[in-house]
Amino acid sequence: MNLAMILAENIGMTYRQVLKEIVALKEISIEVKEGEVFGLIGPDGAGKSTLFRILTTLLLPTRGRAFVGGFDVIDQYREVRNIVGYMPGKFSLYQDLSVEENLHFFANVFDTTIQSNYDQIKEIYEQLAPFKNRKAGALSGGMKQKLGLCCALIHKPKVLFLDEPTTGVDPVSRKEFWDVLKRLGKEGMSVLVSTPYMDEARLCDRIGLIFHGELLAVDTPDRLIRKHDKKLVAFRARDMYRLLRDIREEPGVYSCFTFGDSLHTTFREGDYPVERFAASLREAGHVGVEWNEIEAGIEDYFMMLTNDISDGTGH
Amino acid sequence: MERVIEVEHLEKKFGNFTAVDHISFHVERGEIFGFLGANGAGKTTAMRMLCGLSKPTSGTGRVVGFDIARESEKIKRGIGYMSQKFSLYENLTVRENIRLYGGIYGMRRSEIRDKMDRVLGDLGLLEERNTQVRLLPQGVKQRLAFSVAAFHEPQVVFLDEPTGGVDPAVRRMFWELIYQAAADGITVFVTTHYMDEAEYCDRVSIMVDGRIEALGTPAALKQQYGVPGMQEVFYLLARRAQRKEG
Amino acid sequence: MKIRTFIDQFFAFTRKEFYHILRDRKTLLVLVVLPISQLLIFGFALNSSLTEMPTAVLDMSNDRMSRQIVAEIDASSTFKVVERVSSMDEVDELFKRGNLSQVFVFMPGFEKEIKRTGVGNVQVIMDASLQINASTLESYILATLLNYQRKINAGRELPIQIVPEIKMRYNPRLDSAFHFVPGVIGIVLMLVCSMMASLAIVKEKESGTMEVLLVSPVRPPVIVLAKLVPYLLVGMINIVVILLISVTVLKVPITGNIFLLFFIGIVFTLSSLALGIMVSVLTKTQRSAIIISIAGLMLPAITLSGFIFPLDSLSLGMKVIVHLMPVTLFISAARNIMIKGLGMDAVYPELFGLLAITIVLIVISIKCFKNRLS
Repeated sequence: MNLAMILAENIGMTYRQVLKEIVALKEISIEVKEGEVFGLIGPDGAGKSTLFRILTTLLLPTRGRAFVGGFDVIDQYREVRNIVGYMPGKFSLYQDLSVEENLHFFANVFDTTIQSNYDQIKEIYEQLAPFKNRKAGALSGGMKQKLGLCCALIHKPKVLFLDEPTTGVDPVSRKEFWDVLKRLGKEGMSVLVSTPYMDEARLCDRIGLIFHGELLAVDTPDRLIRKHDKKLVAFRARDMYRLLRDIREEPGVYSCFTFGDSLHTTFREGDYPVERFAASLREAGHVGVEWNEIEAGIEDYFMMLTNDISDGTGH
Repeated sequence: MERVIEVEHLEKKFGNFTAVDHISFHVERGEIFGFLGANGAGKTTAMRMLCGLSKPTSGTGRVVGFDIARESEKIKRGIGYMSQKFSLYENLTVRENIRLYGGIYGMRRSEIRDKMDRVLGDLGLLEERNTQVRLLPQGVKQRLAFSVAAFHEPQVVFLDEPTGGVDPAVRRMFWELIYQAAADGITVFVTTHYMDEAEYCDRVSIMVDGRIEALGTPAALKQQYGVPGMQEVFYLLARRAQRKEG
Repeated sequence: MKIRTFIDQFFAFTRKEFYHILRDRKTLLVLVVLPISQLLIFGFALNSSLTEMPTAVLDMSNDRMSRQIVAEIDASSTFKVVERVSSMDEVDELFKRGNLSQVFVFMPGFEKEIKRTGVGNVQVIMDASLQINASTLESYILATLLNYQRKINAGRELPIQIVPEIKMRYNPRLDSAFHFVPGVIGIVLMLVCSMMASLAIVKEKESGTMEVLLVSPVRPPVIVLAKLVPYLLVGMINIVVILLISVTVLKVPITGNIFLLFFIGIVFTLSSLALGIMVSVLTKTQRSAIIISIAGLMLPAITLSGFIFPLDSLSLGMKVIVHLMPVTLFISAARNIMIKGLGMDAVYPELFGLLAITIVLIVISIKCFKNRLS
């Protein structure tokens, strides 16, 4: 259980363009163990896909070393390619081939058959079966992703790389997708999965928060949440937009953002008198002001970490 | 309240397949209306009909006062549209993009100039007016795209998954822009897969198998289904789907 | 890699490529219709009706009968006497300028000869470059002379005969019109094959499927070779169709061995595909692949392959370079077989040249095949 199936050491990636250098990744180090589902959480452009491509031997890093299944991704890329399954962020199957033709093709590519690894793909394949003669291009988003996963799993890979498999997929299909990932992890497969959806972080064994090419934090979801050290209060009132603007006017407020049906507000000082502030809001004409101190979620923590770097500050 | 969107028994069939199955609802002026549903539930088809891009098989609908089946060109002039996939020309500058869209909607040059200064001022982009859009950060691009969609002061702006893949802070700043537009009287019709964003809407509808299965304020829906969040409401409804998406 | 794995993968890929081609109906239609239409356009352009063909007269006899015949020729709608010359040298000069269809030559003492023997010979020298119309022209010439014969024989006891003696004049600057047909075949085949193949691999790069293929045990030779097979089949169908049209519609005689021609066509198709595949391997977008195959492959093929301009005028260095283009070799070989009726011993240099080029291109494609992105 302690074997590192993915090991990245100080991976850096710099693209040279005509006028400037673009740093896509800075000193990324991660370790994914056997049977672990590791989530790489961050917005578009954070460098997730670049890291995936380096680990799947598609790109050479400018700095650092990486091993997958014990093989060096640079020198032993052939060995790595034999043991990994990869699903790129963009739908990358043949749109003019049917579901079944795609599966057969990829089975052949990996020198195997659909039957020989049926247990692993059974759960997804059964959902796909009614559409097996449909062209992949005519599938809905959720089904495309399931087909993509099926094709990536067909050769029993030891390590699975899924780059934003749930982007643009509705919550129900997303949940089904994650159920499969959980099972794969239990069966001993190592999974590196990226997502822009913060709510999916809780479904991973461990997560890494990535932003602007930098790994901001790595830990289990629970432990990361506990690292949120600012007082966090949820506010509600009738006119939420006005409330938002007024809360941000208060100097003691560190950040204030909409979160579902309330405004998550952090304060600079831990002993900030919230009730007195709420009273002043009521005096200012707000109706139905309510507040309660809450526990932070991954998204709160991510936003706290990125508040200073982000191009949208909460203040 | 004035009804900006109003549809009755709207239906769209593709052969034997009923993509949109007699939906009826209305959206009032200045409302933020969340249009939710699983992939394949019929959201996109319904939205296309509302924008005048596709004719309904049966049923009626009026958007900004015009009939969706017969007056689609007039509708197009009265609405704005933004999707995650396409909105701005990456190799044109901020100013050129705005001028282009203003021009498409027949705004006068002086009008475009005045409004552009105001909009760019609000976005803090006055300095960046001659920057090519592709060089802007993702979040800025997104907000600019929205401002451009709303530039000709349409009565309704249709947003098709406008925040997919953006970072949480940018997503929220985007929503603040939506709030502001709604406060200015622009109706916002938005689809999203983020259930927390559903909470920001004044009212939401949830489509399942081509029908609208739930419609109301987030608070009312949560109460109705006895669950703490929109995420759970969505699960409860979408799980019932008979029509397996394909 | 195990050989069985290689074969399995190869067949899986080939099957997939067939699906791609067969399902893209529009492209398939273009691939079949384009060569046919190209050839037909060319054919109709040549088969335009024959009127007022520029004609010269060298009348060394200048007697009553010769003048009458010249008048008869000039009066017909087919010929138009544009020049009267006084020596064979001038005839040469006119042909060199290339704006002459034929020359009627009357030898000294034309009428005297007729009166003596009852037979008059009119020499007709035709431009070989108009050979495609030669038989038609010949019949017109015959008809015109017969017409005159009939007039003059009316009421005559001893009928006289005017016999045309037709000579083809080989013109080094202008090839026979038939010479163009192998050229067109070569260009059309190359257009279809290179373009198709140049998109084959780069398409997968753009659609993202290449990313998945790269992160799999599949090796470049499988991908490259499997791409060739279905296109080769399309190419073979094209060769058959093109040859059929050449023979039936354009009435080009195939004097040599048709199977040898077909075989060379297949090898040429392979080399064109290999050229396209190489472009596909080296480019990143379909757009640049198309631009390169048009500007980098098609333009030189049209201008430097001997299709339009004869290669004799090129410098030695250029000659070597243009003979590295498969289309040059094919056109030369096809002319030898179709028009000169030569056999294997005359075309084996071209055949081996084509084979060598094909192998080199495929090896380059496999070697340059990027195992990673960017």
